[in-house]
Amino acid sequence: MGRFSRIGLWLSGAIVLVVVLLGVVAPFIPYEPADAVSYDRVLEVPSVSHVLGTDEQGRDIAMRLVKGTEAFFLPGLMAAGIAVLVGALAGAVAGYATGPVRAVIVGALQLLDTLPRLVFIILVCTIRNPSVTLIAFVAGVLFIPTVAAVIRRKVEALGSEDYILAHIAHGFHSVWVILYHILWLQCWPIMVRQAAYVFGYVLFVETGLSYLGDYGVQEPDPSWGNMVAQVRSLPPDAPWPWLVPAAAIVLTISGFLAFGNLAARRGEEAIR
Amino acid sequence: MTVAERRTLVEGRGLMKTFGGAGLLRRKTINRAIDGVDIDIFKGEVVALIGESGSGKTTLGKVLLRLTTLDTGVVRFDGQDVFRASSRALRAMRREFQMVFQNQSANLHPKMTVREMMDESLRLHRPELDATGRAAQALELLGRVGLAARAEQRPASLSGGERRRVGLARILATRPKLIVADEPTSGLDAAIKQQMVELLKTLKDPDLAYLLISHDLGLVRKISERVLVMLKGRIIEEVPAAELGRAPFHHPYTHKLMRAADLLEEGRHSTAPDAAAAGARPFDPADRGGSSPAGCVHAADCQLGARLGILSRCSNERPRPVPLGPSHWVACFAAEAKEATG
Amino acid sequence: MNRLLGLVLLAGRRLAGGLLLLVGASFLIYFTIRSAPGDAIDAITPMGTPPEVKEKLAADFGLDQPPLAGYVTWLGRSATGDFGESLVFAPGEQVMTIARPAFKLTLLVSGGALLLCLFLATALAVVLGEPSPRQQLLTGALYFVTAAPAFVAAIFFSQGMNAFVRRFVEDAGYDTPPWYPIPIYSESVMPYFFAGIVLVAGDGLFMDMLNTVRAEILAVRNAQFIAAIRAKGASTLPHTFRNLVVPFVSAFAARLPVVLGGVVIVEYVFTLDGAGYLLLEASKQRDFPVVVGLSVLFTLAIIVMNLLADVVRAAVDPREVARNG
Repeated sequence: MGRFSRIGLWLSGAIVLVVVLLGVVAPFIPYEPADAVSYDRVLEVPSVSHVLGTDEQGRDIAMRLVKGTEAFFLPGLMAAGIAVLVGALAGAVAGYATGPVRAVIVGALQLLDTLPRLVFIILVCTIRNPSVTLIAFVAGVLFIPTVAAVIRRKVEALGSEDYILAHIAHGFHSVWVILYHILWLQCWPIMVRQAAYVFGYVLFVETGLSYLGDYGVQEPDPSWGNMVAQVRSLPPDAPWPWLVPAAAIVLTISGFLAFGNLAARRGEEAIR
Repeated sequence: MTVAERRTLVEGRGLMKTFGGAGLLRRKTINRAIDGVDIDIFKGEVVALIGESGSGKTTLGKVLLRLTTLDTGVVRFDGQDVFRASSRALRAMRREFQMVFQNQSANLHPKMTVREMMDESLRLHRPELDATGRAAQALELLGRVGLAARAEQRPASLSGGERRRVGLARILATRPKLIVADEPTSGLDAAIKQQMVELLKTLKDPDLAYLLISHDLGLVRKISERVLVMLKGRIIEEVPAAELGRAPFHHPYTHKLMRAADLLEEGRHSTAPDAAAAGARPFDPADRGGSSPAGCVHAADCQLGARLGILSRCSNERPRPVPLGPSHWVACFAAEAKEATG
Repeated sequence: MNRLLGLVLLAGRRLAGGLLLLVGASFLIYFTIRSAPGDAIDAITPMGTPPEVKEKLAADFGLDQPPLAGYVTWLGRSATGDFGESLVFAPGEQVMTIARPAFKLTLLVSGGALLLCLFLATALAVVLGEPSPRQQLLTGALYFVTAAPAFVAAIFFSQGMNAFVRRFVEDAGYDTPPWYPIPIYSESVMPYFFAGIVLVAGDGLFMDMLNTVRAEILAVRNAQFIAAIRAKGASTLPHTFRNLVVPFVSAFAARLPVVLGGVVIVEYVFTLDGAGYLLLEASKQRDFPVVVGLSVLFTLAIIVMNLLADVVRAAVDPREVARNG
């Protein structure tokens, strides 16, 4: 692993750490969106009392940024969890099993994979009450085939190296071989990468839909997406209310993607 | 061991296995890997299975240990039907029959030290041992394969031969009755190969049987007692290792193998096909796959059959084993003729 | 086996598989509708919809029948391209009538963006050549920039344009230049172009494509057979090209769903009259037949693309036929 990759790993790791910390802490910070409004300090530039300035309604941007993590943090974790856990299991079984079991799982995965994700999410939002949790759940399910495909490829490669057979032959329980020897010992880098990716996708969908305004998080509750949406009414000389959350979105998504990739690469190097 | 006192450990009857098959939207490609094989392995013996690559020997080895599926046939290990065993019973059985894989690091995890891997095996197979007992046992087993000093190493810093020895040490942890060793020396250079052969010999105890899968006749003759020759999914000859190249009659295909390994004692074999013709036929893709021939699997290549003028019989009728001596039979019509005349 | 026959057989099999997938996907879509809480028809229509419209809708979608029978009814209608009539967006219009031009536009924009992306990625991969530590700074920066969601990229882009226009065009006394992307003039091609650029630059698409393309190019360049051809003194270009078609087609097909997702939001941001804009607008106004019809069409587009990719791959690489035949 090169020097730049190592620096990238540390930097992206720091971003992930900050987001995770904020996501854990945010729910415990008392915040009443209505009380935060104060029209005597509208669009203030960043200062000591308002580190990132205030928005059109005089609300502290830093505070809304922190509270905004609530909108995607738990849903993102849930989606990543669903996609990675179910996807890894399905992928391992699809790579290991034979006969009808394999056919059914492969067919189901292929079916899920043909659904266009965002379109399907919007369809679900049209029919059901659109909460971010629901969106994340659907996103997690729709990512199952993506995770399953990489895991399956890995399992098939291990199969052709007799890695799996050797463990079965040695007397290990096949469930234990799948869960421990394959998924835990061999596939964790893949799972880390995919989890980071799905988390980033949920942030993308949540902010995107919140930005568009009808699904996702509604004002006055803060979301990075609806904070960016203020761009529509902001005067050109006061860009920070949308610039700050937009930068946060970009930083977080690329941070998570980079962390997932670099950490996985490091893990794969170690396993190899 | 004399023929009279041997007791059966593994018994395979009427084994059939085909690869490939029909998908809903897929063309059928059927490849018969094992085509009606009967096989016995006796307690404590070293039996070798030889044949060219693709002859089905590895598949047969895996079938005996239920590491792959079987179309028809029965495998019994110590009297128990292996393919009917419940998964619990099967796992208990697996302790007693182990396999050394061709890929030397197949069951080694790169992040674990040798000691940790030994510990994992011992925890599985010797639940009666506590942590210190396992540590002691691990060192003892590693000592037996000559790796006591490398217990704290990871696979990456071990050589190919050493990795294979770790695999062997893990296998010994289960105290097996049978080890199926698939090409245990392939990919090793000459000196290490010799070491491995010596090790296999030293590890051999009276209760342990080996099924040695190899195409290396030299190795086979050094350590095995009985040799089974396999071609295109069938066993075509069984011969005591000491008789290899010395018996009055061998299957024409066995001849070919022995000639390749320089095992023939010149001038002793009137039945030997002439060298130029042996194996002269170019590779034909149609040989792979397809259904198995009705007659002898060697009929299409057989010079001996051509010389004796029995090829039409060879290619239409499946030859039965012809006994030629203790532990020696050949599935060849030429042997029948020889038996009748001699 | 005859190569052409193999190819036709493969195409036939893939077509059958694609149809199966389409039936499966439509099944999922239909049962998502049926899973609506409470009375499905109330859940999916806007408030104040007249009862006779509701009744017609229920009949169209088989909502008045048990789920499976309803599915068969709906599938039968949809198979003929009849997705019902729009309720709100363009009341009384056939969904297909509104969807067709919108879809054409969306496919054009996303297909164009993908092609542009593939082209740029290939060009950059060729320029970069073998990876070196010094490039990592560049690729790292690119990685960072292109990971922005397309809508954020679009905002940055349009805001940058706004600032640019204010600073250099208006101050200099000119009116808005003709290529000015926002607001949109209906006749201009520029917004489509910018939407394409944003699609290329956003959603991590470009880096993803670059990584794939680069790995493939390096693999072929370093392959032994290429070395052998070079040693013979022959041109390596045709062989390189031939070996890159398969991975490129795969890369293209694999990313279409990603772009078809991104295009929904980008169209909305740029207010392009594409299928994505239509989908979101219809969804907001609870114009249910339009949403369902478009969902099916998007799915169909992905299936068709995968089908085409399979056939092209097989046409270029005989091994594909052998592998799948």
